[in-house]
Amino acid sequence: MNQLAVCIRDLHVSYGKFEAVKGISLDIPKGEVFGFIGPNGAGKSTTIRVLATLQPKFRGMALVGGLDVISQPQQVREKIGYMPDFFGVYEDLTALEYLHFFAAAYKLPSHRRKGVIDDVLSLTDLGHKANSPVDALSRGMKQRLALARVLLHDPDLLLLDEPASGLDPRARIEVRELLKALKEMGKTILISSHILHELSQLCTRIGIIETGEMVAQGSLQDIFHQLQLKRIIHVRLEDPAADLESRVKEIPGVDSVESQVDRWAIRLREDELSVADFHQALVEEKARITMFQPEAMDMETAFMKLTEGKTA
Amino acid sequence: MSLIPELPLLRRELTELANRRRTYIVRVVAAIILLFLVFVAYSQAIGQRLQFMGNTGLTGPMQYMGIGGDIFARIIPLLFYTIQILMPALCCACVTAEKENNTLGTLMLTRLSSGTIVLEKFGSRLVPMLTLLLLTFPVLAHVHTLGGVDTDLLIGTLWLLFCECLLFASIAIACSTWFTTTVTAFIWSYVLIGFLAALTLSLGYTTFVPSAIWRSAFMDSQWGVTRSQMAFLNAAGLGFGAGVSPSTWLMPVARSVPALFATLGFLLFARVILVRRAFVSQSSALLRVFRAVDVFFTALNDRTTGGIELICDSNPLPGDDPVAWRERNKKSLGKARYLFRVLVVLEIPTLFICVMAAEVSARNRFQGLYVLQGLIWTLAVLVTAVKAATLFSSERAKQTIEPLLASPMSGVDMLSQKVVGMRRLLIVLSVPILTVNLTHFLLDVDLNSLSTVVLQRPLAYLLLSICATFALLYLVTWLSVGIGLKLHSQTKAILASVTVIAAWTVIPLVIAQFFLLRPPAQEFVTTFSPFSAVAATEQYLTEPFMRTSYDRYGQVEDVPRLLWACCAIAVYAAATLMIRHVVRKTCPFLLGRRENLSEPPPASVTRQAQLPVLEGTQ
Repeated sequence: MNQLAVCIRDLHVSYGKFEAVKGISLDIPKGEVFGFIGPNGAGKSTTIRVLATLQPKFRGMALVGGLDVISQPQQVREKIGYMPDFFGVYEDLTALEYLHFFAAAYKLPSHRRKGVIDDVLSLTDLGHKANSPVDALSRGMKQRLALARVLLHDPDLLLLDEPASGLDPRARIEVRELLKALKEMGKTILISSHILHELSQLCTRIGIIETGEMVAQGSLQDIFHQLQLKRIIHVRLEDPAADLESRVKEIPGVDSVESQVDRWAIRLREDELSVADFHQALVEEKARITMFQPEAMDMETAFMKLTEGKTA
Repeated sequence: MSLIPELPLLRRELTELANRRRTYIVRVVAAIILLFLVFVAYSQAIGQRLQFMGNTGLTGPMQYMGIGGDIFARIIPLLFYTIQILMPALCCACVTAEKENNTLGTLMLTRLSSGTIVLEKFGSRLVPMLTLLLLTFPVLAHVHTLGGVDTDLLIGTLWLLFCECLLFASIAIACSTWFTTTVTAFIWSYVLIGFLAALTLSLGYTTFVPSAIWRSAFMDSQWGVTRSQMAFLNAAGLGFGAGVSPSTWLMPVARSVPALFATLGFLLFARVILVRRAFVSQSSALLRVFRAVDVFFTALNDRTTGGIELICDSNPLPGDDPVAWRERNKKSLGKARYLFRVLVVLEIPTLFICVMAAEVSARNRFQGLYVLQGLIWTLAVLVTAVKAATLFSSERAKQTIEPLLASPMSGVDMLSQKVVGMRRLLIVLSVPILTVNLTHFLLDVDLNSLSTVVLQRPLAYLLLSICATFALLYLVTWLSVGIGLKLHSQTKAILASVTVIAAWTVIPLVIAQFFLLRPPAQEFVTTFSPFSAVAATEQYLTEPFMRTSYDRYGQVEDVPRLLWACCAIAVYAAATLMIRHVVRKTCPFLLGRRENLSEPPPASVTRQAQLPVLEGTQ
């Protein structure tokens, strides 16, 4: 269990009579990027707040790096970097002062602060904004500054709640690249987001949560497998033979062939037949292919299939 | 087409108000307090009348003749005070709440015009106040039946109460439209109302504030007899007859026209600035003023000396106390330079008045300075309470608290640093208070015959004053910090702190007054009010003079003032320590996070020292 960065067992969180989290269990090994997805009000932020030691009342077990969130919250705080889903502005501080403020709050030795702050500013590409007031930074820069803050004490686990929310495409890409860099550094990251496409590019595993319950978790492939999602391939052929459609249907691994106006939409059982093998089979059937377009198996499909849009 | 306008905003506001449980709680509590005060005024008026009649020998039903006038004269000021206290508090959040919730923009995108928004907001806040006043109408009707209140007086008074509601609501709405946060709107509403009332009344202009119109129109005595008393005397056949021509209700209505114009002016002002001030940044207004003053002085210095600075501002980075550093270096009421300006603004008029008092007063006659002392204490307590109550609630409002709470700093550490950051402010606020005490001290010392015996009392007084000042200021600080930790909204925290402190101060005094307690019971009950620490200290200084007066009139010697002062100060020092202990103990829970039962070993520092910086970036 000590090899796990996060271990949650049967987590229950209630706000009065309202139960926000209903028995979530979760393991995140060290070095993993875990994506937490779910509709608004599903319980993502509450789960993250438990790990950030900011949820005083909950039932169940939550360990961070083997440390108990209930009995050792101070030690847990030294291991985590928590970025909430909003960025409160210290209007009276510059970016540099802001980072010095938190470096002192994280009890970094004063002789090391300048070096660490220079490092995180350079990593987040904010060196040129060091003396700008925090209030004057763009939203994307503020998010990067918040990321710089959570890196100050070199935490093992980053808890990022909606880090890309409200950002423009450029800022979003910048944040994504930054997270990739952190992933390469070996940080364990728990990230919640609504932008599923981005999570799929970043996460090694994902968890889908709805109405306070985990409805699926695992790697993307695992989830697609669990859902028995079939890969759709769009194919356009030149002068196909009259019996070609029936011959394609009989290829082992092909689930169905739907003839559309200018193409065929072929559903493939990918565990039986890979895309490349199917292409080879088509060629062997003497089909003259002008377009071969496998549809990306996206998280949106999985998300829509697994969730019903309910909130807890 | 319906002749009644739809008024969607008013409807929404009233629905929201009706859906909140606290609306009913506040209304019931306010009604209980108001009706209790009315009952007290009622019983006091009857008591006094019976006493008066006992002296004149009149008995029977005649002794109650016109008593309604006496009761009316006592009740109506209470209603005016209620409006003065509650109306700004009710109205100050009406536009700022929309700004704080980022909903004002949405509202302005609808077809509602600025004028409609202001008027509907205005109406939505008038309704609760008027319903509260309606609760007293049965009492007023009963008083009317007792006699001594003619119909003109009743109608005129009701009109003036209504005008007072309109005027005060319009001022608060103008402030709510101008300022960006409810807290600043709340403070400035009272400041503006106080300033306008003081200005107009000091100039002898009584037709601006409706309560002043009421006082001058109905309560000013004619040949030493008020109108209510006149009604009684006339009824008893002892009056001045037709020689007195009471004002009709038309007179106060006519005199209220300037107040109505002022109301209209404030509403128009609110309408004009609504759009302009809708999206102004929520930065501290005081800080902006100080920065503007900085710019002015820098320019002046550049022009006159070519930019020579004798004392340069250092801009240090935080050491090991980041929270205290921010409070001391980045806040308008924390930075030494800014606090010095506050000190100058407070101290110069205080010194001026003290010097004037010393010039014109006879020894041991400090009555004039007591008013100044009361004003300075009120200001100091208000500033301390507001600042302390918002130490954490402002962080919550700006959503800056969570990253701090997720850091390894303990809650007690954060709390201690926040309070340490307030120390300079407390010193600055104590200076004018102690200046008045010092003036009292100097007035009491006979410079021609200095000796240890002569100096003993003034020196002890000075020492007690210093102790009382700091004990009480820290008491207000810790109490308000505790309330600010408990209540998440800034406005609620400020209101609750001010209310608790005001209630704690006033209730024991009211009880002592109401039951007409004699020493030592009077001192005992008064000690439950923090005011006793100041009062006892002042009375200790004037004790010899007072005792001479008592002896002259053969009165009984009361409790030794030194003992009372020491006890009161000790009680409040102990209360401060106790509240501090409770706040520190409950701090992690109130901040909403878990903490270790025992302090963790300082492994973090050593671990950090050993770790490479950002593995992977090196």
